[in-house]
Amino acid sequence: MSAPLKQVRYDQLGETVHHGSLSDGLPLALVPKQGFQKRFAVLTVGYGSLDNRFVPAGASAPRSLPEGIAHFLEHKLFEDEAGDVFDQFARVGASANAYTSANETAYHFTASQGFDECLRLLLDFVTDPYFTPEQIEKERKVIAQEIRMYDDDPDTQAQLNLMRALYHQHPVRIDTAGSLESIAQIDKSLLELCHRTFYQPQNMFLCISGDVDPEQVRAQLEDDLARRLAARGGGLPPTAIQRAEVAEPPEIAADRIEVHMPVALPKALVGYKGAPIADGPGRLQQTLNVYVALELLFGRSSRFYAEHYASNLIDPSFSYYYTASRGGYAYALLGGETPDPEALVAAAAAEVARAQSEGFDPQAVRRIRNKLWGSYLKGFNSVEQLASRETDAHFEGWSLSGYVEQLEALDADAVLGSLHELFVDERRAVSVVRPV
Amino acid sequence: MRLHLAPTDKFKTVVTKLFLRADLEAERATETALLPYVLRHGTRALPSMQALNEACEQLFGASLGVDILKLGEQQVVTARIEVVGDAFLPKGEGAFAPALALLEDLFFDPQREGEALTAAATRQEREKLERFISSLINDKATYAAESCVRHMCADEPYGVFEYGRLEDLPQIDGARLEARRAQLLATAPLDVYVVGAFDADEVRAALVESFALSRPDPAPLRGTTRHPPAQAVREIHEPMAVKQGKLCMGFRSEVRVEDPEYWALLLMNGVLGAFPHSKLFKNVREKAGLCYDASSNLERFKGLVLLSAGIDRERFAETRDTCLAQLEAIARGEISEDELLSTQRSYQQGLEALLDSPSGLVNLDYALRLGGRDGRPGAVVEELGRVTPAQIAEAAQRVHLDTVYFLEPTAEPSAEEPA
Repeated sequence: MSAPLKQVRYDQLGETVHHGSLSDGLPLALVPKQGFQKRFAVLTVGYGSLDNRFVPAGASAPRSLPEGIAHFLEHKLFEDEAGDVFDQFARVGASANAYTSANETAYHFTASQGFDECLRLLLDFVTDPYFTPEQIEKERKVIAQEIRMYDDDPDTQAQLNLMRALYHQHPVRIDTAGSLESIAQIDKSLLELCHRTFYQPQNMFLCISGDVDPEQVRAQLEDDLARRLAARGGGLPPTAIQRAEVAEPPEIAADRIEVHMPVALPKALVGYKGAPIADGPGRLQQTLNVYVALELLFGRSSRFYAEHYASNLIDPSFSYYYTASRGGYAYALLGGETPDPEALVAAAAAEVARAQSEGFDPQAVRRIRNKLWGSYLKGFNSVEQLASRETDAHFEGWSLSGYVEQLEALDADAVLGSLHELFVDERRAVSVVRPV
Repeated sequence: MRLHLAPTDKFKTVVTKLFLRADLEAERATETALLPYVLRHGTRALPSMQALNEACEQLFGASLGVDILKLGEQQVVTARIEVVGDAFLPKGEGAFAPALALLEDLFFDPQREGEALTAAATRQEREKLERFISSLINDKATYAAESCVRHMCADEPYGVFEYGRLEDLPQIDGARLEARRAQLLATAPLDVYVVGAFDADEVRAALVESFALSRPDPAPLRGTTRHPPAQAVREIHEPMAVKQGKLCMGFRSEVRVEDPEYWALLLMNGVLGAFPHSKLFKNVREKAGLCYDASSNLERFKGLVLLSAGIDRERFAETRDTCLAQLEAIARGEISEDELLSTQRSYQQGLEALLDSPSGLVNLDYALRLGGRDGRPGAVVEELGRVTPAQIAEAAQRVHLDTVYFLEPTAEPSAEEPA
């Protein structure tokens, strides 16, 4: 049996998180929320669309797999020997879903009743693959329609093209769902290979939030695990996961990509390619610094927003974000619908240059810090957000209190430093979608 | 004014939401839609959007938003502010009282130029609304659903788009918006909800003093009209240069939220297409592999069922017929015990989940009260538990196809990736 859970209390927030792991090595966290109806569980696998070149479990040389295979696997796991997994959740009225991102595949459900049964089901269907050739063919058709749906979505296309402009090699360029050609190459043996390689307990994380008794849940999970292992005749020995290195130059691949689609108004996205940031607390600090810089430059209270909203260059679709991924890339992005993409790009670049020379007002930095702190606290209203945040913390190696500490440590000079480092004209690319 | 207070220590925030309701009419829809967005530009105390947004950030990231809803044939102006509860703020800090005052000022003491809302704010929001309406086409699924409804209800108030019409925009100025504001505040039914970490007595006093003023009783509203007599099914194909076609089928039900058979109709929609275990998802996606998404939606006030799926052009007739066959199967009483139970329980859990969401609770309560129903999730669950499969089949028999709309790809899909 595994060791009892370790409690970490956050007095200021009035919350406690219980950490531990099961005897097969699956790490887990539980966040009790008394008085909440919903219980939420999410099982996240450290495997996403970026991981398409790696050394398969039991092999010695790296191998490239078809684009979109992590997402295909996610779809396929929703079928087990007993049939459609959605149906089994629905029988108790729970709703289940999943998503695949660059770094992760996550399977989750919410249940106000029948939680124990659903939790058992979640662990069963994710860890016990069941593939038939007929079902794989059927799923190929469904995913082809999903790809077509996104082909018609201007936001998705603008974002994908920006990635293709910023990156030469890095798999952040590829579509999570893959392409019609790449999914045509996916078969049973490849799906099994990916499952065997990545769906290992030590590469997964289980997070549960809601009105639960943590020790009781852990005991149930151990019992279920013993039953599952007995049925399988024991667990597989863990193997090290070896992802192939990506050789991505710091320069952008193209400064501009433009396409035409049936839209009313052009859409322009501006991206700044940053250097990847090593694992550790520095990544969260950098993320917060850049986020504050973006808020001050382009946020709803900024001079830029007021001026260009008034001139109609931008509208409420204008947005921005920064991501520094453990998958080895970092970029900032901003943009939205605009009648004049060139003017928007020029205005954004001018605003960056102005801030780089003028610096930031420490009082304004404090105001944004207040805002960040408030939205952080709001996250505690939602069992889903809590679990998702705790999952990020696990994979990123920080803690909830670490987040608050880093927020408090925010300072105007560091924010300005991040602006100089990231926003370099030579590493700026533009993606435009224009009306047909 | 109806005031709804739900203090609880379950949440770390307080949500205050305001609803002003009017009949949906083509002539007034555009100015009513524009109004809250112009008000969002500033109050006498915070006389610009920038000042307003800065104040919200200062209040530990208060989120302030306005929107327009269409509930049956009524148009509802809403505004919402959410702040961290004072108990969680550093000692001596308080965000709730200022947030409440801000929301009140937005409607009762907006920034004005004489007897008009400001010309600058009015011009900017006219431009934004023009863009918003034109850009509906960007999201093909939404565009298809809106187009289906527009054709289907062309001669009824329900066919009016809740954000209005492009052609009305040039005539709307600040004076007209100010007149509309005064009129709505004087005559429109007003509901204010406060949910979360606050003190009920203090809030009641503050709100009654500020919002109630000396409001007369609200003027009676027309409400939602009954549907017109049945007619031949319309089929509309709109060609567009898209890769995936969007099928939208509009049905009229004889049953609406205030009718006794409503709960059976709701379950009917659940068995048909509200969930991944529903017939549409099972048969159109999982069995036939025709699409990625296939679902149905129930508009409770007007009694419309809207069914949608994204498909290849050459599969149009097959998908339409497969979808229709699902409704017919329900009407014949082909509802398995699993389908019934899964649907009842899925609605039950969905309703219970609302108890964890301040906004979810508010929206459900407002909508069901409007339909003369008890808006508490527990009460709804009880009603749903009493419905029998025979009643669900009867509800399906009273749902009739009206309009089939297809956003049709102009070219065969190519196997190539987009450039």
